Amino acid sequence: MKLAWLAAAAVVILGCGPALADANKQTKGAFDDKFRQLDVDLPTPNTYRAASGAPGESYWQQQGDYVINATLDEAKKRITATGTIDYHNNSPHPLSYVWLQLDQNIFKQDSASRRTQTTSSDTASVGVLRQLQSYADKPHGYEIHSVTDGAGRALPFTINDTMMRVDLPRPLAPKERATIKLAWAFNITDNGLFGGRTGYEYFRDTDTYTFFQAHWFPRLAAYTDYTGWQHKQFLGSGEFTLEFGNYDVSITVPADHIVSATGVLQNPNDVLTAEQRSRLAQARKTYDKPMYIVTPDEALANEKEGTTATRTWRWKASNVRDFAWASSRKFIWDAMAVKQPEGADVLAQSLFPTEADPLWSLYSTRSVAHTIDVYSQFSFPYPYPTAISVNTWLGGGMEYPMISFNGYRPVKDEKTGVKTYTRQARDGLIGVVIHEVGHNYFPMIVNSDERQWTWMDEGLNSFLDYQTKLLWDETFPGRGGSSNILDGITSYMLSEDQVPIMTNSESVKQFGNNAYAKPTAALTVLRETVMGRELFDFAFKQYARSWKFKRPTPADFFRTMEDASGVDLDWFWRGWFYTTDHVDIALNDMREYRLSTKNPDVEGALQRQRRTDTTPPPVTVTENREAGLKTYMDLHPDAGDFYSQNDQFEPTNKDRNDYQAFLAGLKEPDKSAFERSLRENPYLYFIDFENLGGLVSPLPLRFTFEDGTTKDIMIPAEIWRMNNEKVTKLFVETKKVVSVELDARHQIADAVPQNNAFPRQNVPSQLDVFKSTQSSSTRNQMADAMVELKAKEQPASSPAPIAPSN
Amino acid sequence: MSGPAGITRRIAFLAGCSLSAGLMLAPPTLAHRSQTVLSTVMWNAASSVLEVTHRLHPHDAELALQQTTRATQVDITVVKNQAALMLYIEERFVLTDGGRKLVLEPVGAEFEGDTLLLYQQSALKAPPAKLAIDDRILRDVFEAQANLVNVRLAERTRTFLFSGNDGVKQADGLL
Repeated sequence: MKLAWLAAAAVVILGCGPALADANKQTKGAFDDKFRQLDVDLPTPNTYRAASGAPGESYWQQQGDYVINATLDEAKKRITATGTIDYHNNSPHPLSYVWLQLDQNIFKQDSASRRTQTTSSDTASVGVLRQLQSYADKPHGYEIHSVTDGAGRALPFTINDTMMRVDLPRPLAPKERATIKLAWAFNITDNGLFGGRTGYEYFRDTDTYTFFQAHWFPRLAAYTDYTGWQHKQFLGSGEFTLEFGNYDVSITVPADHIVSATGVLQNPNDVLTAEQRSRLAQARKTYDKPMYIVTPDEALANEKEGTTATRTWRWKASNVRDFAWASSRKFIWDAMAVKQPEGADVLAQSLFPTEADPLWSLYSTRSVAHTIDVYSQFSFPYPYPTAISVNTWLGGGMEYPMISFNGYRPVKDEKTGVKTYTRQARDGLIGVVIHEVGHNYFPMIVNSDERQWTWMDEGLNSFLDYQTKLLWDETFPGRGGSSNILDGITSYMLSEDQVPIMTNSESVKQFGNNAYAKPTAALTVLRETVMGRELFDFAFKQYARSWKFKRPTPADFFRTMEDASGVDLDWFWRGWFYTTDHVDIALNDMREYRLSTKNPDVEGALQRQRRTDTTPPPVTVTENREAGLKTYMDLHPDAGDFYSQNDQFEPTNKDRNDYQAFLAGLKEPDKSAFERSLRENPYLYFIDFENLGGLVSPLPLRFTFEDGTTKDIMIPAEIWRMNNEKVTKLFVETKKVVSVELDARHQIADAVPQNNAFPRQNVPSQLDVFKSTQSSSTRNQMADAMVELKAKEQPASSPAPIAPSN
Repeated sequence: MSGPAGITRRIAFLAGCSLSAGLMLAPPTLAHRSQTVLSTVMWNAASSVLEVTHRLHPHDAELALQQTTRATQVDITVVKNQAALMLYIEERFVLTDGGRKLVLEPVGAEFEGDTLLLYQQSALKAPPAKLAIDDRILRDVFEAQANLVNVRLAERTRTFLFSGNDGVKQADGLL
C-alpha cells in the first residue's frame, strides 16, 4: 500500500511539469526552445559511437556463424533441423549466457502475443474457428530437442516466451568463441490462418502448396553496446534485431521442389537440370528483361506430378543477419542480370506459382532490378550476389537478406479461365517488391534495431521506396489524384492521438502513418526543402556507407546527417521525430511601404493622392454633386483665402528649408545610400507569420507582382529561433506585390492551406475540390450504382446479433 | 462459457448466416500491412456542410469487398465497387447529433497516391453540438484494425481511436 502511494506521488510530481528532467529550463515565462540543441537528449558520444555519427574507434558487434541441416516434411507440414552456432564474442564483456530468439513461439497457444489479443466485437468467424481448431489439432511453436556445447555436453536453457537463454559452462571471455549445437522441430503454420511472416499456402483447387520459411531456426539475439541483450519479446509488430554471420544451410525437400534461399546455391549440379543451369548462366548475362529458368508450362506440369524422393539443396551466405527460404513444386522461376556502376553484377530473380502469372512474369523481376538501381544510387552498391522476390500470399510483403516474400496476384474468371489483374494488383506488386527488396539496404545491411525503432528501417526504406516508385513512373501509382506524400500526411499529423516517431515499436499507434509515412514525409521535406538534394544526398549516403554491415542507432543517423552536411538539424529532429506537432504556418498580414524622400513637395503630393485614393468624399457630397448642387464657396470664390488655396499637404517654406538642411547634413556613406534608394525607389513589405501547428518550418514563399510575374523565395526555418510563435520579416522588392503565397509547391506539409496566402484566398476543402472536378454524370454514377446494389441486396448487412440460448 | 448474467449466448457464424457474421477475419497483419482507416469529420462553415473523408488502403478495401460480396476479384478503381464500398461504410460509420442520426450523403471516391479517399457530406444549419461517432470500418475484416477519426468542427482537431471493443464515442464540446 505504501509503495503504491509512493508511486502515485511520484506520478503526480513527475507529471506536474514538462521539463523536470531537463538540465536546461526556462524558469521565467513559458518559452519553448524549439532550436535547443539535441545533444542534451541524445546519448553521450563514446568510443563505440562517435559524435560525428560514425562508428567509433572501439565499435564492436557480435557475430554468429551457422551450419544448419533441415528437412521439410511436406506431408506433415513440419520442419526438423539441427544446427551449430559459432558465436563470436567481440564485445569487451564476459558473457555467462547467450540469448536466442524463438520467434516460432509466437504461434504457441499460450504465447504472450496470443494471450494479449483482443477482439473488436462479440462476433466470431469461420476463420477464427478454423484457427482455434488448428491449435487443438497440433501444437505450434518450437520443440527444442537438445542444446549442447561443441563436445555434445548438454547446456542448461530457459525459455521465456519467444526468447531462450542458454547458460554457458563458464563466462565467454572477450574475443572468445562458443559453440552451441541445437536440435529442433516445429509444425509449419498455415499462413492463411495464422498470418505472420512465414508458413505455407495451400491451393485448394490444385491441392498444392508453397512453403516459405522465415524465423525458422533459433536466431541469436543481439548483444549491443547500448542496451546489452536486445531480448524484448516478439509480440508481432516490433520486428527483428539480429547479428551478422556466415551461413551454411542444407535443406532437404521433395525432389521435385524448386528451392530459393538467402545466399548462393552450392550444388546446382545435384538439384538443377542441365537445361535449368544453362538458362541460369544465360540469365546472368541478360540485362534487358527477365528470362525463364523454369517456364510456366514446366511449372504447371511439375506441380501435377509429385514424388516421395528427396533432394538436398545446399546454400552458403556470407555476412547476412538472417536466412530465409521458399520451396515448392509449383514455382515458375525467372531471372535477369543487373549491372552496377560501382559494384558486381546482381542476379534479380522471382519465383511464383502459376496463380501469380501473368502479372509476376511481367513485373516482379523488373521491379527487383529497378530497386537495386535506384537504392544503390542513394546508398551503396548492392553487396550481395542476388535479390529475390517470391510470391507467397495475396497481399503485403516481408523482407529477408537477398530474399523477400511478396503478394498480389491476378484472378482467374471461373467461367472463362482467363486471368486478369487490376491496376491495384499491378501497382501493389510493383510497390511491394520495391519496398521489400529495398529492405536489403535498410535494415538487412544497415542493421538497425528493429525491435526498438521501427522507423529506422521502415521509415528510411519507405522514403527510398517513394523515390523509387516515382522513378518507375512519375505518376505512380497512376490512378489520378495527388501522389505527393506531403499532401497525404497532413490528415494524420493533425491527429491528437499520435505518438512521436521516436517511440518503441510495440507502443506505436497508427503503425503505417507513424513509422512509414511520417518519416517518409519528414525526409522528403528534409531533402527537397530544408537541405537541398546535394547536401541531403551526400549526408544520407554517408550514413548508409558508414553503417553498412553495422548497427546504427537514431543518434547515429541524426548526427551523421548534420556532420556530413554542415546543417544544424536539431530543430528538425526535435520537431518531426520527438514531438507530435504539425506544420501550420499562417501568413497573417502584409503591409506595403515606400521610402520617404523627405522632400515635402514630393511627400505632400503623395499624401494627398493617398488621401484621395483611400478616403472618398462623404456620400452626401457625391450625391450633392450628382444633383448639380453648388456649394457656397463655388458660388462665392471671392470668400476664399490662403487655406482655400492650400490643403494640409501643401508644404511650407519651413518644410522646404528643413529638407535642404537634412540633405546638407548627410555624410558619406549615408548620402550615397540615400540617393541610391531614391533612384531605385523599392517597395518594402512587412509580412507577419504565425506558427499555429507548433512545428517550425522553412517558409517557401511565392510573390506575385503587379505585372503578373512571380518569384519564389525560401526562408530557412531558423527565422523562428528567437520567437517560434510569431515573426515579422521585411522584404524589399523592385516591383509592386499583389499577393504572397506560402507553400505554393506543397513542400512543407502545411496542414491548413486556408491561411497560407495574403490577401486571403478562398482555399476550398479537399471535398470541395473533388466535387468541383466531378461532372454531375460522374457523381451520379456512384449514386446510381448504390441504388442498384441496394436493390440487389448484395452488400454487407449488419453483424448478426448474438442470440440468447434456448 | 457463461456470460455475465449467467446466460449462455450463441454466436451465429456458419455459412448461410448473414454475410458479415460469416466473414473470415483476416489473420494478423503481415509485416508491412498496417490496417487502419483515417477518417476526417470537418465542418465547412463556408458551405455549411459537415464533410467526411475516409482514407483507406485500396487493398484493404478490395479485401473487405471480396469478403462481404464473396467476389473472387474486386477492382476498387471501378465505380460500382466504390459504390459497394460506400454502402459498406454507410453501415459502419455512423454519426449522431444528440442521438439523431446524421444522414451522410455519398459524394464520391478518388485516389491520392497509395490511398483511396471516400467522401460523404451532410448539409446542416450548424455544426453538430453533441456529436457521437461509431466507427466499425474494416474492424469486421481485420483483427488488428485500428481506426482514427479526426474531428475538426472549429479551430481545434480532436482525435478518436477505434479498436478492440470500442463502441460509440462522444465528440461533443468541440465548438
